[in-house]
Amino acid sequence: MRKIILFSVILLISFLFVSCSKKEDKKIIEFWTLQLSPTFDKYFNELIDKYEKDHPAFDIVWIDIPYDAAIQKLLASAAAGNAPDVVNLSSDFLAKFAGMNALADLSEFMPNDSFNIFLPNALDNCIYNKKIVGLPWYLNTYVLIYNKDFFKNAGLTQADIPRTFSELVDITKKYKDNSGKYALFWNIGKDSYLPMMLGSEGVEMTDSLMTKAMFNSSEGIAFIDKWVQLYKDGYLQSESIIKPGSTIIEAYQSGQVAMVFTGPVFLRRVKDNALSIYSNTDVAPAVVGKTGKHELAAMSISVMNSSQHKKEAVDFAFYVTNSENQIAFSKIETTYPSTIVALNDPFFTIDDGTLETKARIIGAKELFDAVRLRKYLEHPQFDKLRDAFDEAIQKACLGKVTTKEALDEAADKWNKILAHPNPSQRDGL
Amino acid sequence: MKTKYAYFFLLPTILLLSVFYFLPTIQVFYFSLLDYNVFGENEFNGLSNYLRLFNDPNFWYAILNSGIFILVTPILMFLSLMLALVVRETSSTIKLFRSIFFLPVVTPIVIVGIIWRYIFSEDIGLMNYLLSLFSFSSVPWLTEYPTNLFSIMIVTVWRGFGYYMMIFLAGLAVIPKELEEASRIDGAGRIHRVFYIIVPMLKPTLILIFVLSSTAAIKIFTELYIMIPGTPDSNKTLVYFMYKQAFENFDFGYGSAAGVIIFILTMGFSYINIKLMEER
Repeated sequence: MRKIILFSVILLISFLFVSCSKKEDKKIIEFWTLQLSPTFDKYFNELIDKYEKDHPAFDIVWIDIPYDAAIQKLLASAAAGNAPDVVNLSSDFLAKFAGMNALADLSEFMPNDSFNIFLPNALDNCIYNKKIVGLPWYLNTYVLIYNKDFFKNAGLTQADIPRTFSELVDITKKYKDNSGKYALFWNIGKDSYLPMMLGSEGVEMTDSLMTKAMFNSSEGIAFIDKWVQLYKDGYLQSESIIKPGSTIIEAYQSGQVAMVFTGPVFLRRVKDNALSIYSNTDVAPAVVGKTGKHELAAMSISVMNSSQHKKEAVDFAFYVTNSENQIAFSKIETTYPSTIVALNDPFFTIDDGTLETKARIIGAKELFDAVRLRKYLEHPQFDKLRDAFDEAIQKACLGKVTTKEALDEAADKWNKILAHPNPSQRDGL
Repeated sequence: MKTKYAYFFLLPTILLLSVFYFLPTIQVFYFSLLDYNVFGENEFNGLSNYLRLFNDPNFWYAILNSGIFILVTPILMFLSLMLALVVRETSSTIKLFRSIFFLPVVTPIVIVGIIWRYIFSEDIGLMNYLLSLFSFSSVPWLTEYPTNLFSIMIVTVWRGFGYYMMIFLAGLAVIPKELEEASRIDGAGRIHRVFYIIVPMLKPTLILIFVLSSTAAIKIFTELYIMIPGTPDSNKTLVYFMYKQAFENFDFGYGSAAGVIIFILTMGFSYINIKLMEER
């Protein structure tokens, strides 16, 4: 018995030594992406092979993580001291990690003119507190996806397609009055789209220095109140105040609503899941406010401050986001490149008559007017600001308070947070 | 000699418990005293996190909601006991029903949450459709507080009664049949037999189920996360509050403080169990 135990221990120790043996002397750059596998497996394998051939001193390890678990995985890896070197982040994640000083300032590693290849409004999305904390990667913008059949059955025509938020309010009422069904799904409570709509209408959420909330101006209240009344009068689904924007396309593809306002990339999902709905689908330009601006949804690539090979990681990040690679990326899935040269590729201008191409061309044109409307994302406590605003809208929609009272209460909370960015200096929020 | 070997065999379990349970628990206590930053230096701030917690209205709402949630405990205990009394026979038909009642327990909680979210959907859900057949108006199952909390409680009861039914069945199996036979001969009716013979004999089982169910109620999270994630923070329970602070707001010190409070509350319930056992 003793001999067996001794032998097992020796075997175990020898396994440990084998696994810890010195690897080849190559620099490893770990690159994480958000939910791009398996669609982009071939793309990334080829991209990485080419990079490694041109840079034989490097090994690129690509890891794709689920979007919903991204934050937890990134935090766990950071806490364990093995965060990735290069990471793909959404706008919200970028804001969060930038606020925690987790991201490297890329301008320290590359000359300023290196960044001129990107669309200025896209690059602006990656600038926090005057630091360039990411490179814009694939972009998305919003188009109006609608069901032609449903419109026709409700007695509506092409001329009724809304172009402004005011028209959208009117058509939402008219559609339901005519058909008895909901015109659209619009998340106005959780991760509300309302701040972006306010921005598009020219109503700022805060002053330019982000010290005071301004959305409770008379113009802001009047605008929000239209949507609150829509909800209270039953023109929006009950769960519009609690469902996040990620569920938008579900309502459309299941035939519950006649239109949605989302990225062209979701057309593929409608085609895969609901062919009958897809065959009656058409697209129109994004609905906008008085300024004509709309929100830019940007994925970015950042380098973590904890990276041991920051310079090399930045070089790889630029490689992934160069025009050639971005055009190839956009041809696989309906997204948009962030470089000016890539956006002028014929792929984004020539119409082949398919719905996806039509959506792609509309979206490509709109990209030049797309900006980061939610400027408050720069604030380190932006998630608390967002929650305070969302909860105010929910209260108003449920009739607990008037729209003015709700927005005034939210503005008070915002002012407290804006005055004391450090939570431990502040009560209750 | 034998004792030495016993410790050797206990070692893997002790190691696992230490690494995955005791050490993390101690760490949480420590983190609750810090302004914890994953990406930078941590700062010791004493009891500030606890002071913030006690000044946070959402924390008190979370405690209130967790307290309301404990109401599932008596409902679950009653329902599962009644079912256990029905299915304690050993016929093949009854065995089939036991399996059916146990199915919700083995269904993954995420699937359960998604399906019940659709059932409770206010515009297209089954519940409001059934209500409309009887000319009742729609109920805001998911959007309004505290109705949304009661919706989650319905799901919790639905999912849990099979599990506690099985525990009751185990408890019922050790009650001597002669006792019930004797009481029947003496003229005791069914209800009398249940309350004066069976329930007293089931006291240890009742205490166990009370503790399990109430601590599970305090720790409820997944159902809320799947079914009502978009509702205000004042609609949520303690573990959700802790999750949000730590994993959405990245305020790990604050979240850890909430975790310590949850630990104290669940320990309190365990202590009640020990005292009740001692009285017996």
